Amino acid sequence: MNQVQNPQLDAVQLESLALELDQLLREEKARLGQADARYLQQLIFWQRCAALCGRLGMLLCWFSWWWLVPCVLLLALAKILDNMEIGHNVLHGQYDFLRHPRLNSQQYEWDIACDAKSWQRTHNFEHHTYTNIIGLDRDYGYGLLRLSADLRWRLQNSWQFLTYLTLSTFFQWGIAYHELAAQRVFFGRKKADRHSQVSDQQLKSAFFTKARRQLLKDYLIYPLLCWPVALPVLLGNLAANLLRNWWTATVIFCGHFTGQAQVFQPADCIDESRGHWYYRQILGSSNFTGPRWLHILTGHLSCQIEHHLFPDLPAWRYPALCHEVRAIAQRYGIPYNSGSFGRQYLSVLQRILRYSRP
Amino acid sequence: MSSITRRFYTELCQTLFRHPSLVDAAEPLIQRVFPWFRAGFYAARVLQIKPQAGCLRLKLKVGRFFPMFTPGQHLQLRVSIRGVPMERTFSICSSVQQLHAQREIELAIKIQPQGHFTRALSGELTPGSYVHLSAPEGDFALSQGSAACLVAAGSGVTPLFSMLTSLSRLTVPLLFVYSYRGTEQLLFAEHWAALQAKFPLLKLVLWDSATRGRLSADHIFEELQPELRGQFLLCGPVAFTQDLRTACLARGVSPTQITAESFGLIQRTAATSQPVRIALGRQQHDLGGQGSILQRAEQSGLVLRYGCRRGVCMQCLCDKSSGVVRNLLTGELSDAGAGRIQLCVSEAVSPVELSSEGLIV
Repeated sequence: MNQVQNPQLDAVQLESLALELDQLLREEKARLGQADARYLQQLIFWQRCAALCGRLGMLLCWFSWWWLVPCVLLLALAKILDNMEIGHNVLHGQYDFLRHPRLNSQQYEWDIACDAKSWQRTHNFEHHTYTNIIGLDRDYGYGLLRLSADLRWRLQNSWQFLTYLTLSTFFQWGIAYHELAAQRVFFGRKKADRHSQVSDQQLKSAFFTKARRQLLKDYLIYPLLCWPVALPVLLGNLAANLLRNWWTATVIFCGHFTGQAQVFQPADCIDESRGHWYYRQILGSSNFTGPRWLHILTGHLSCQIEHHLFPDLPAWRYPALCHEVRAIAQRYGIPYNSGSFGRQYLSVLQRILRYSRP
Repeated sequence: MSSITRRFYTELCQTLFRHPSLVDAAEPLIQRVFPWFRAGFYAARVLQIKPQAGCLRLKLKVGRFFPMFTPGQHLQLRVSIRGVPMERTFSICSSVQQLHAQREIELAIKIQPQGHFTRALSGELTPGSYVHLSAPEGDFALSQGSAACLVAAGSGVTPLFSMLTSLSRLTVPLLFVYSYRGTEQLLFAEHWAALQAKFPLLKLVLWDSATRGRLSADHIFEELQPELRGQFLLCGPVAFTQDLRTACLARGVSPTQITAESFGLIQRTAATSQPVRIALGRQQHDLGGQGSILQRAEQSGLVLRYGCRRGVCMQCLCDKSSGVVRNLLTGELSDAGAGRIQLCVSEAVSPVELSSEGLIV
């Protein structure tokens, strides 16, 4: 793996980088309004249609099990849209300015096993603040994978490719358990340096409530509602959840674990300036290119760099910013990591394999 | 629905749709057919919008589900301004009969030259466009059957006008005093003569403060014959209702007889605006701008949760860790330590530090 040296910027350069990106953000924020409201409304309409058609259509497997295939795909599409383009972005507060009573970062709850509030703490706060800092960003390898030479090699890393496949398969449960693992709620010794605003009891109760609802919904209530075809519906729901898990895991791994994505040391980031934070976000994230539908299916995480620079800007605006962000990055000699989906994903797989060896 | 059924229903909807009710979950689909539909609000169509006496008179057609109101109640008007909904509270000024017979309600909205909302309203709304309303609320009401004295100043006449026009007949004497500044500021000018003719027991005093000076309690008590002494209903700017209330109490009116509703905030007295810092999670925001802390936060680009914007609904309640604020309704000063304040009616009089989780919408 060819690790390039991070370009060194001095404080003045970082300051002016921050000014330029802040300016870009201000200009884009001034454009917020009707268009965002319409986009979100359309998106949710189609998401609901896909979910409804998928769930109702599964009843047709009364006639032939083949009906399950298109319906599972529709339901998986609905789950992916809800998870990525709606859930992820709404929970980031991107649409809070619309003052919708439920489509806002405080109220929204998404169709995955992870409790929205828990995700906001681990993802919005931990991951977005300490992106790719070894030891601080627990999303870096999820405590299971070794993706950089900065982490000590352990025996379990030799089969980490299998671990990766398993993690992808159970991705929603991995995310749901993420914060509980960090706080050692069920297993392990408490870490003295970890502080949390919520108690273990609250974590457990949120986890079990959300898990109960998700399991009841997909594996009990909906199948029972479709009684004569309960089994195919249950299997259909399982398949839709699996497809969604694989897709989200793939997209998210392409965001920070591509071959060129950089990592940082906690020491680099003590009292860091806004400029340095921006600098780190560009270096630590990677984009991939593709048609518009691909961007939407990824929740615009295909524009991971823009997302990490401006996490609370409505995501559908990212593709329009790519050009300018790339130009700014080039002016400061910061590599802008982008490529086709296939190429980026291949480099992720290579990286997982490369660091499974000492 | 009983509370157990309701809890079961909510839990079921949360499980199946991750929304508290079926209507909430189906909102995006319903909106495809009825674009004006909003779960949790009553849609209303604008029939007429015209400026009158420094106000915007808004006549709205409401749906069949809009609940009946008690004259004197207010509601929240939610209007999308360039795609972003804004809410403000206004009193209903039309009668219950009009709602009953024609499904119409009317609002009179004072045009604030500095106001974001009222300025945008006239540009945004045309006959045929839709606005959204909360259910009517508030307990400012006229009790039937006892003599009463209603005193209004400026656009404070709106709830009292609704009370007056909602009366089908008047069996007890009623004194109605309305103070306005100059004939061009007289609201409902076309109705006063007809109302006086309709109710012989009504004593109507239209007080033009531009020519007759500021309305004081002395003037009111001059008109007030002993048999009129009953309930006092006051509505107007804060300073007006406070002064009048004090004067009434001084004349031996019992506090339980006086009901007041006021709007607007006490004039700012602080010459310079004090620094305010809000900590949201790990972020620190220093507020610029002027006015209440809520206004300053908005001027600084923060989107905070708010409701009535006049110290009633407690939605903008926030934890203050230090600093002194003035309550703009009462003029009271807070203590300097930690406490909870309502951002919409608090003005910083010393450097203030606030911390609040979940205050952002």
